[in-house]
Amino acid sequence: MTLCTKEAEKGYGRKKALQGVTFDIEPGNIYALLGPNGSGKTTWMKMAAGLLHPSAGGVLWENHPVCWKDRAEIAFLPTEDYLYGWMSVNEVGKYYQDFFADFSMDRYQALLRQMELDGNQKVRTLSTGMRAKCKVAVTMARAAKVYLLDEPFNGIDLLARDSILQVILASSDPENAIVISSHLVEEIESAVNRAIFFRNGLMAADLDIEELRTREGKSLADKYRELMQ
Amino acid sequence: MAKLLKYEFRKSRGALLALLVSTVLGEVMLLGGILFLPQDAFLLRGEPNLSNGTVFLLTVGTGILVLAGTFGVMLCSLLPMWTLRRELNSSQSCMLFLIPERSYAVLGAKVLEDVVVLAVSVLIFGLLSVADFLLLAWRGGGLVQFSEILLPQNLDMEKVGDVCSTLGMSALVWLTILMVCFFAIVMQASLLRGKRGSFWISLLIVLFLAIMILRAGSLLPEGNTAIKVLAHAGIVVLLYLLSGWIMEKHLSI
Repeated sequence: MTLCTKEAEKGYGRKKALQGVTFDIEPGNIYALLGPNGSGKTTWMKMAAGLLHPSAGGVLWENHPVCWKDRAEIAFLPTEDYLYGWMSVNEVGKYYQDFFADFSMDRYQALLRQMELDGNQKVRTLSTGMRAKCKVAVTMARAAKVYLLDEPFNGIDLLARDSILQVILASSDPENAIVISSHLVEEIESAVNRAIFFRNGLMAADLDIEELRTREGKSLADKYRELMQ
Repeated sequence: MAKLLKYEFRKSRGALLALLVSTVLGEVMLLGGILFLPQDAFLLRGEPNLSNGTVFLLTVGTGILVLAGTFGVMLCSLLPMWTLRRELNSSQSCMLFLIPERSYAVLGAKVLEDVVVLAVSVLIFGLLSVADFLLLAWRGGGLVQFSEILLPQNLDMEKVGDVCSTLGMSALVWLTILMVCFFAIVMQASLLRGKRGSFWISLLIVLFLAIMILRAGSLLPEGNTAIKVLAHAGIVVLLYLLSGWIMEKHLSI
């Protein structure tokens, strides 16, 4: 199933956060969503998750505009610190289990062990890195068709980043698509096979990374510099 | 909806627990005062000879119960509204809106929590007041004399009905006002989002609608409780549907 973005626009007053963006997210791929701050990455992700209404155009899932029902198949990891502080790490899993049919508590527990998180610890007592791990664990414990991960590496150290990236890569299969937005172009280059570049609310490019290397002889970071300068 | 309701109660757990503890504390003090009350104290001529401890327990216990039954319940019923406002204006809105549930269900769980809190509070405090009154009458004045008051031939059923309908109507009017507040919060977070003075505009909406509803209520024929109940229930349902629709169509997280 393809997540189609067609002429998607979002404006906040006079400012246009997204301007006529069109591209497809197809299963079997891991996408990097790249662009500087304010380029429209989060706006697109929230639109694709059905949390934000487009001003024009939109995002289609199974040929209909994304709506609340599609959150059962599209997993979204917001960049914000959105988990309830009063919950324990285990309770966060229970919350997801209560609302998402595709959530696996066994997988969640395995991911917690893999990322060395204590299930009994309250979310409000977790460090930034531990919270990021918890968010990734609870999102990737779902068997979703599309994973939208908004800045999953924000504010965390190298080892935690490696651990999170491993978990994300292990979740990839031919039936699902993973979209990772990040500023860390060089670090995710080896993990993704496609890249979508946003600049000032416009889509600057949609590239196959292998083709980029073989045809243009450029790395993802080189292309990023070229497009954003 | 049941799962959403479970988490709404979980969010209000602290306040509801505080209300419960205050009620239990007040009730224990009042019961202590009643137990230390001299037998037939109210049947004796002149002022009953009560110890300072008994007076303290009766006064403070009653005070706590009255405060818990009025302000405590009102504050607890304000909590779902306060939680919605906080959630709609913070990153935690993602936790609430990334689940595959309709906005009507998300809002409905909060309104339902209010309905449950109000209904259970009216029931518990109603039963407690009757039980305490009976115990007080038994201890201080004799149950026989008191029970005579309650005999059907001595009981003014019209007044009892008036008291029950006043209590029920008060809860319904309060629920209507809460629903107006929910509506204003949804307006502020969606249609008025990012606009200058959105808080004050939503406050004006609350005041305007509350005054209009109370005025319209006073125009309804006196004594016809059924019409008033239907009118208030209608307003609650209408505001709920309107708020849910605005959330579904215009709320961006």
